[in-house]
Amino acid sequence: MDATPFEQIASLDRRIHDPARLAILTALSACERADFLFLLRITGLTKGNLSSHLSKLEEAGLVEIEKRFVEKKTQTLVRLSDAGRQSIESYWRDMEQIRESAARWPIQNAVPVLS
Amino acid sequence: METRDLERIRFITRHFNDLQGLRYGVPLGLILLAWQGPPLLRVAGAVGALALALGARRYYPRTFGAVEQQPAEPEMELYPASIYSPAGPIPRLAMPPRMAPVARRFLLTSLLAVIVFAYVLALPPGMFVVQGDESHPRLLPQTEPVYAPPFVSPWAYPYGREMMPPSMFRAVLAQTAYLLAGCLFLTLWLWRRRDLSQSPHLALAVLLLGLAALGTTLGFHVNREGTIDPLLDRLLPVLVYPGMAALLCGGALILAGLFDHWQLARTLGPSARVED
Repeated sequence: MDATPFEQIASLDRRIHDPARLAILTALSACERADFLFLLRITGLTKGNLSSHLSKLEEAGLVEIEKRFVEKKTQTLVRLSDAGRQSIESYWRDMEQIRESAARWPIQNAVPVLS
Repeated sequence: METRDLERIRFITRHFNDLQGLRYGVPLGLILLAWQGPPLLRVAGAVGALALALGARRYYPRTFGAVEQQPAEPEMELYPASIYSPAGPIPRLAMPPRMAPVARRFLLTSLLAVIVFAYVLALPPGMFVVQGDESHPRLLPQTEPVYAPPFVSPWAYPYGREMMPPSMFRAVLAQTAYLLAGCLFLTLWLWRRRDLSQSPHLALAVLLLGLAALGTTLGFHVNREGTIDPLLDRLLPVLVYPGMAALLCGGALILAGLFDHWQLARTLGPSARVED
């Protein structure tokens, strides 16, 4: 028997499903690489939060971080690793499947909460 | 976080560089606007546009960060022909940079549009535009050929090629400006995946291509006495004077550039959310 939409949601990659990390990975999936300031702006996260999320993503092998000097200032460049690109693509495929199966899921299977 | 937020993030990231309106659209528009003025204004316009473009080049990375776009197609490590090089295989990085995909699409769209434009222009009935830039233009019907591109003349103009009069040349220049500017906006709209948020570019493309089409087909609207519909007559200066075309195209470029910049500034927001 196929898993219910709820079971499918539970099986999603937790490293990606967090809203902040999903925003970061979505931005990175649309470009070759982006710098820290851009990610800060596009996600609306604070510097500390963004650093923390990027560290977790780097530890998980989903992103690669490179630091370089531009006009005597450090520029942090972030890019998706090959594994990261595969993971985010797989995540979107899973989400699409969940959406389709949730639309097909019969309403009588729902637990009668109010009865 | 909703799906449309993620779509917005993806769109802004993908088009971050071509949404930098203060760097491209607005300076180009300023040059076009100043082009129809006296020489001093032209120089001032060009210098102002250059200063704005250079300033914006520093402003965007400092304010919004930097994004390196994905290559449009996977780059091969080596040029195929380089295996024949006596110096051995040559890395692609050593070669000159290739044209940006959006520029390639713009060139292709423009080329197709110019071909259609030239042929429609060449079809009879032709018309002459008379009077200079100082007064309201007047059209004269032209039964003889005024312009005959290759391949059209044998069947449309049996008497061969004739030169275009200066007033007609200026009209064609104005219509070509509308055509190219319209193609630019159309290409941008298609390049940005026909996103609903980019409908101002589509509106500008329709307006400018419509003016180009109307100008090109003026010969069909003029009768033997040279009179045309009063509404079209009012539009005539816009259709046949290059100065008016520069004004309209420049204004459109500035509007589009400011709109693009506004999209970036609205999505990437102020720096207030950044912690100390």
